[in-house]
Amino acid sequence: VIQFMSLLSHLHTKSDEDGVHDSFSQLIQEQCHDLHDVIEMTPLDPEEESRGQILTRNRPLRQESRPSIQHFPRSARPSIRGYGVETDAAGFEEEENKRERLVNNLQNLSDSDRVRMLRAMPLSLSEKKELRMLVLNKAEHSVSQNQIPCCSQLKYYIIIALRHGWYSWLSFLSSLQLWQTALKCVGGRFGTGVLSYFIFLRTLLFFNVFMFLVTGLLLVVPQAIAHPDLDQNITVRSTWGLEVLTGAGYFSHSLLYYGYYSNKPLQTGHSCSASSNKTSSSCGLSYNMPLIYFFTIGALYRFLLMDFIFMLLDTFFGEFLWRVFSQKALKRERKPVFDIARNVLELIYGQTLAWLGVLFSPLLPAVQIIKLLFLFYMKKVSLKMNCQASGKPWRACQMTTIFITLLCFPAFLGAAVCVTYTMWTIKPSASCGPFQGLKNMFQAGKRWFQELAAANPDLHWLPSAHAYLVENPLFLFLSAGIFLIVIYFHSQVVDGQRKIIELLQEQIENEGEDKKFLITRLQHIHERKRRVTPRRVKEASEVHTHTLTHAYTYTHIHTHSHTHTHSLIYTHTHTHTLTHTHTHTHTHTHTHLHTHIHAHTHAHTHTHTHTRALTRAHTLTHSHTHSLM
Amino acid sequence: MGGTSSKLPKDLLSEYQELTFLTKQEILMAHKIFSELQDRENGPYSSRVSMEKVLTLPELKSNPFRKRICHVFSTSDMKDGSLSFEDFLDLLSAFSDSATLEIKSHYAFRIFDFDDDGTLDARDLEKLVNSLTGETDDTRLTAEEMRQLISNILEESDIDKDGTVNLSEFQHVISRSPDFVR
Repeated sequence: VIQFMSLLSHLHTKSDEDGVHDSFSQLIQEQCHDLHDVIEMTPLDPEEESRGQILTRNRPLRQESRPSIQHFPRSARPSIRGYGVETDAAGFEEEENKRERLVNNLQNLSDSDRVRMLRAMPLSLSEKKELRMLVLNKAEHSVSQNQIPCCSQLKYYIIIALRHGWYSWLSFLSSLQLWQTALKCVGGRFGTGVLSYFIFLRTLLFFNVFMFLVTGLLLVVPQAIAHPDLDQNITVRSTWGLEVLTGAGYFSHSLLYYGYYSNKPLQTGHSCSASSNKTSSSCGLSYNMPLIYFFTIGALYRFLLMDFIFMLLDTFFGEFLWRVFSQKALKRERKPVFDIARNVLELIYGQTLAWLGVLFSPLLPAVQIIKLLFLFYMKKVSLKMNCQASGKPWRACQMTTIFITLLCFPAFLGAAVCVTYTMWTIKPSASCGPFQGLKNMFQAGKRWFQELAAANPDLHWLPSAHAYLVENPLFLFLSAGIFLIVIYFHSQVVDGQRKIIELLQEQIENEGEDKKFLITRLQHIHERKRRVTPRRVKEASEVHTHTLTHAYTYTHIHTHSHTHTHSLIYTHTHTHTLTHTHTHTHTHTHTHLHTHIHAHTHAHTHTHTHTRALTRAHTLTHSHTHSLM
Repeated sequence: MGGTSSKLPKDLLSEYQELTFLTKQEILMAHKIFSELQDRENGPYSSRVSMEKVLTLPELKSNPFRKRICHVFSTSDMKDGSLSFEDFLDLLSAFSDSATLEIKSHYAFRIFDFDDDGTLDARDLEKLVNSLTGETDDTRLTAEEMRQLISNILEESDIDKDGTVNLSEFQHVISRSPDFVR
């Protein structure tokens, strides 16, 4: 029974299964009718609900179901177990009933949804198998009655085959996830903080792979296919060894730097359409030779390389030697701790260099990829040998956000600003590179538009539009303004939701207290009534005890009362004014209750604001019942 | 006797694939391991493996909750913690990477509920902390520390302030833990 209850609750908590949810709310309402339960399933629309409405809604007690409001956090059901309230001992038929409905509802889902639901149910495997069989038998049963035998059979087999294929593809994909075992080992032995560093490294690797793919496919490959004519008056030094370090020499006339990239449309045998892109501003740029030297051969490639070398040295000295030192000389018991912050900053630094340099050296992401791959294994080995798990807990998910934020804001934006500035103002080199002879790099885009317009008379508006949009600063201000407004809006929404969370938590607490109060009062009353002996009072007390036992175990009230009520307090007042005749006329008592409560709430407002500082209808009726006793 | 390496029939395999979070290779590997455990059982062949044999698995051997895990996943009528192959698959599925947060937190709750009453009260929490800190005297918490810790835990997780942590509260507090965010 408990399993089925929890099953129902878990099906309820899947907030994205709208279809199942609807059918389940139907199921619950049907159960309401049968078992006279008071369970209210409310609609899910958070925008419609005002605060007042939220405050006056009651939560059902017996089942662990809750309205699955998407944006709201999980609300805990006040637990009344400690008070010895008997849970409903459902009969076997009820269980069968539930199972029937469950099977029906599962049937209505699509196949993948059903699989997902079945998997997520916390039942034992044998029960799931039974359920699945029931569902499939029902499906076959209903389907076999009206269909064309041969076509749908074929379709059936195709679908089965496709599903098998899909599952095997998924398992293959999951096994492909890079470094998954290594990360698991690291995370298991050293904790989530260190794991977050390695995950960050992997994320950076993917960024670089993406950037490399983009620049590589669009820039490097077409250029590599069509060799430009080199400037012959630059002699190439042939000392191979030094070149990897300095990036000069052989490398300086290779794909690594964009002196290599031509500024004319490429002529190849098969006129590739990529050729016209060569003059657009996104591609390689013409070379300001001194600038180039400064950025690449002089600095960025070397920076990157140096950064790598320093990381190597750092790992070696910082971690390996320090451990040896601290164990032998300082005689400390434990190995040093992996310094996550410093390592992350080094990663961000390296990535910033790569971003700064990619403008002038399109293959720099490739260098960065190689460096990151190497770094991963090196750090892993060093970790195993030199470090131990940190004693302090490390809030990994927030830290990951901070890493990415640090990466984005100073690093990426800074690099983007530098690159944009370069493209905008600095005069490209006249002697080499794709942007020879232009005033600045954006000119290339303009020229392309002009060429397009010249080639095709229909597009005459294009250059003027381009000039208007890109060069007019107003457009940029507007877009930046809109962007900021969107950010502000989202931050206000988050603020509001935080407030709602607080409010809901308060509400849960209050409801728990209310119920505790009710139960203890009723217990007292029950005991008091037992001791009273006179006959008349006995009768009345019998009536009262009868009703009181009902009130004491909430579930029983609900099973016997026929009123379709929203609040359980309604039934309290109902039973208090009860005589036998009242049970027959439901609506009559209902309206009677209404006026009753209205009259009394008014009288008792003041007591309640003192005791509880609450102004909700149902707590006011606490005092109502109390005074009647 | 030993040596009965039965193969898993194909339809069962695909059914298990659909109903659990395990991939085909994982299910086959689980079958192999389970058969080996069955072979090592003393006594007649049965479809269930006793708890002592299950606890010899290296993955479970050093887990402080190994006995509770066996009890929670066992569907045996005798409540002795013995596992059938399907119980074993349930166990692996709940602990697998692709299992949903709800499944994991549901089973974690049941594992931590030492007295099986459906809520985590102070006694359950105390046993939980003791299992984590160890049995030796220098690693155990003192009574005062224990009391403080339990009151902190309840303050943070007990939303309706009834002195116990029920399933919903537990799931809520777990969903905020960074280990589960991925």
